[in-house]
Amino acid sequence: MLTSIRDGLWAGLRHPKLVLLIWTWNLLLALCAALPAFGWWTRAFSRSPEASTLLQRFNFGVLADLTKYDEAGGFALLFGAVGGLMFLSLLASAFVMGGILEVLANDDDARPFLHRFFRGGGHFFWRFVRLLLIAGVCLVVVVATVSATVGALTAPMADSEWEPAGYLVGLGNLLVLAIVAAFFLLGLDYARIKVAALGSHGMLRAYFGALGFVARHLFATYAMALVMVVLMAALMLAYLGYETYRTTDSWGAIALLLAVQQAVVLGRAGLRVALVGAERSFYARRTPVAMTAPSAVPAGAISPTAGIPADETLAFLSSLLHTMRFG
Amino acid sequence: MNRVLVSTSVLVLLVAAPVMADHLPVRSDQIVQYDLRVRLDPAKKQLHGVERLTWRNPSTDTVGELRFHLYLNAFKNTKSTFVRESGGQLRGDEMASDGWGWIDVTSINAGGVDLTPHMRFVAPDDGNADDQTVSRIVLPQPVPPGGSITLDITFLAQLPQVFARTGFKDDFFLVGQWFPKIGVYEPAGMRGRVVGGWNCHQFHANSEFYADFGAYHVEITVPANYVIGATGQRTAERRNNDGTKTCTYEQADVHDFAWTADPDYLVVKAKFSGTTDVTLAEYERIAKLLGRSLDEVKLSDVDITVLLQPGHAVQADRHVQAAKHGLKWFGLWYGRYPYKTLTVVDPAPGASGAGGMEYPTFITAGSSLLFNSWPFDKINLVEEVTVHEFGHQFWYAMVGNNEFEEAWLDEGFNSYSTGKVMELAYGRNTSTLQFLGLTLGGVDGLRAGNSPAARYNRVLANSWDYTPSGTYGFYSYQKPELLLRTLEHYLGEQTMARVMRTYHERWRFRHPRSEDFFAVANEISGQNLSWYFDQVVRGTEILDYEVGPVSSTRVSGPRGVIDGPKGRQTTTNADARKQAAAEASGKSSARYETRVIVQRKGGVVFPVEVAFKFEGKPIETQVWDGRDRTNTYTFVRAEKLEWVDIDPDRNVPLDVNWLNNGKRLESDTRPAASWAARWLFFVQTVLTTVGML
Repeated sequence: MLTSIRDGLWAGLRHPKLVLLIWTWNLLLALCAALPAFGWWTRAFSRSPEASTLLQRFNFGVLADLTKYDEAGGFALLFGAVGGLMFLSLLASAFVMGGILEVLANDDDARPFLHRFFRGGGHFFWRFVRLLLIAGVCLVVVVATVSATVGALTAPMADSEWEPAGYLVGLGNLLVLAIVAAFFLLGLDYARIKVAALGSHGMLRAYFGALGFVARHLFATYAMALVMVVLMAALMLAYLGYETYRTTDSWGAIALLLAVQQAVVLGRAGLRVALVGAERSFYARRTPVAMTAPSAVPAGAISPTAGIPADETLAFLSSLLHTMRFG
Repeated sequence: MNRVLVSTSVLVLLVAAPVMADHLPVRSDQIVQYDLRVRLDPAKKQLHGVERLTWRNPSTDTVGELRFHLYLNAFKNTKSTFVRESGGQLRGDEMASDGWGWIDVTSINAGGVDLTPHMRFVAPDDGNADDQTVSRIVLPQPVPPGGSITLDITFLAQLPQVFARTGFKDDFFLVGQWFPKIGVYEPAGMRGRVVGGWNCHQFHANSEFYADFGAYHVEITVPANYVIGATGQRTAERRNNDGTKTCTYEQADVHDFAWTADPDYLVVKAKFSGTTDVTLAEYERIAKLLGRSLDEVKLSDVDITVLLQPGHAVQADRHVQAAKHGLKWFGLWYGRYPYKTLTVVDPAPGASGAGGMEYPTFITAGSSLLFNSWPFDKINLVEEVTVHEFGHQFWYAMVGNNEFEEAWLDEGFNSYSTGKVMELAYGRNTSTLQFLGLTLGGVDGLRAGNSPAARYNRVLANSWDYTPSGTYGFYSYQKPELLLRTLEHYLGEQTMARVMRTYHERWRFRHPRSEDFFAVANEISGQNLSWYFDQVVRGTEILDYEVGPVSSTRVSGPRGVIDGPKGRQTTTNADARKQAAAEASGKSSARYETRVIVQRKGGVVFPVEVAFKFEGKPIETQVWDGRDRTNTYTFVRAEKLEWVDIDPDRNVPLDVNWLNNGKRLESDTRPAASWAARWLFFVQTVLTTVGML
């Protein structure tokens, strides 16, 4: 497991272009919600002396005033936009994961990086979307069932006269739900790794097979994910510390804030690649046959492991257009 | 050295001198005398009570009937007015489905005559025949003017599971509104009454209370292992043979009595000292502010008892310090706290419905284990609730307005006072919280609730008449605080301090109405402030000023054929271009015509300062009376305008929107950029998390 974590972190460091691409995609998506906000706040704040206080501190009064005559509900629109972007990001994650796996699988591939990434993304997209749907349904059904059951079982404890009981029960419930949810999410990750390795088309079988794999290696799969989550949390805490003790009252300070924020997002993207790398390495070590099994590799393809026919990207785009046209 | 000597001498005198006669009334006109004996049955959660009540008729009327509050019947069933109005939910607390409470008057006698058969429930407010929170007893023998009647009452009360201030949670008991309590007979002339009569409202979801001042002698019997806290001073305690104990409490000049019992309480004792908890400099500053002698502002010592939940032990000092801040600043501003004790109760977990309530000399705060440690320990909820509930000792417990009909007179006045104490003690921008780098001051939160839509109710209304009922909080707490803060800035700190002090002194241990405050404000300020109170207390309109179109453009010289002292001259376009070039190069001075239109967006008319900042010049202010909807300012001068700002010091917190108060000519996008960056990061974080799936 430690070797896999090391492999994963190494994969993150060895693929800066991959990390940059994920970060760029994330930034572009986020800008769709940030630019309108910037426009709105520029119109509202740039000529108002009152808004200057926002340079010194979070001024709840100013933000509240912003909505006083705002019948359209500016914040509602912004959060609505974020909701839409979340859906898009979720859908795109199927593409991004295909790209990541293709790039990681073909380190020594001479083809250009972007070529590999987009071919991987396109090649696995629909299969990964199906996996996402299967995992989503399993996740919602099981988490809802577990939540209701655990809630009913622990309700009397939460009502205890011993005050910490309520908080402990609440935290315990959250922990249980997180563990259960993580099981299905890890299953999704390993199913994608398996599909990318074997080129399988039976997604249900792949997903439940992956769940079985996670169940058989519960400690290791959870621990690897936990290490990455802890590293991500450390990044966020470091950022919060910076944000708490720095004011942004000059353009320089604002630029520095942006730089720090993007470094954090970049770090998170790197850790995401590292997690996939670690999981891939772990899966390969536990199922060496699967990882070396021939996939849909055309004759003459450069990669011996997971190459994709060159016309797959076009096929993907064609099917995408078809879907868009016919709904 | 001399200064130190003088100061020390003053301090010694201050400490040693007996309290001299001052403007504060010493005692109330005691209309009622309650002698109560109550036994708690902790298993059944019931109270067995015996009450001897002596009521004096304060009027010149012959009173033929009595009216009583039976507050606990509000929790008797779903047909009560309280439950109908509240839907079984109050202040975020939900009534337990099987936690009913009620009170039965089992007997009532006057001079040996059984009056029980003469008791009837009445519903003076809404005619709800199923509401049993007010009872009426027709007396066989009326009480003559100035005469008294003594009633012997026995009652059995079932406490509700804690909801709406009172009840039980396991072994914890907060016993408020628990005994048959006589209403207030208001003689003609009192609070604007034309004819005398009873003021005894039903218990409403949004209403609190109203009662006459008097003296209480209460004996409470509970299991011996229980810790008791109550209104007033404990004067006796005895162990009984049946494993119980009886504690006796006494307090005069109060209008209510509440108590609590819990075997788990951690008892924390502290003392507020009028000598060491207030500095001489503070006494001097307040004496000067109020125009009173040092003797008159001198505070008394008070024994503070905090009954804490054991898990909140580390918060003991937070409660004590908050209580001391309250005792100090309320005492300095409005007059010394006249009682010897103050009890602060921290309700049991799961009994938050009992928290945040005030009774004479006895308040309930409210806390949580969360507030024990970082990052929640700088959320000043414990402090704010303690200061606020303590503040009710001054606004309601002493100045006993009718909370049913004019809640703003206590909730609003107290919110205003609490806000000032919190800012002094915990910082203007941090008085509410400091949490992970975010700070929130009281005024920020307060103003957030004020909006252009807050124009459908009056501040001055019966507490059950606000529509929708949820707006009671805004019109009773927030808007009054905003309007009092605005008034303070308008009158100035000193005048406002004297208005509040005088109002408190005149109405301590009495029952004022809004007009009494208005009269004091007019008298002390030397102005007729009706225009203000009519708009913001009796009226519904909002206050909002904004800066409209602003321009500051270079003035071009005249062109064409000009008849001047030197005869007729013709200025061509080429001449104008030359002139402009000369101005641009600095060879000739440019002049700017500045036009600023300020607008009154809201219906409330209020004089405001308008500040103008011209390049390289100090800020200039002008006062606009705000009577017209718009006002145009025009300047022609050598400097260009940088910005204009209405109410630049933000002295009018009643203004619903400060963002539109000012305008710069040159835009500054830094605030937008700085927060857009944060928003961008937030969105990126969310998307990264989702994108990981």
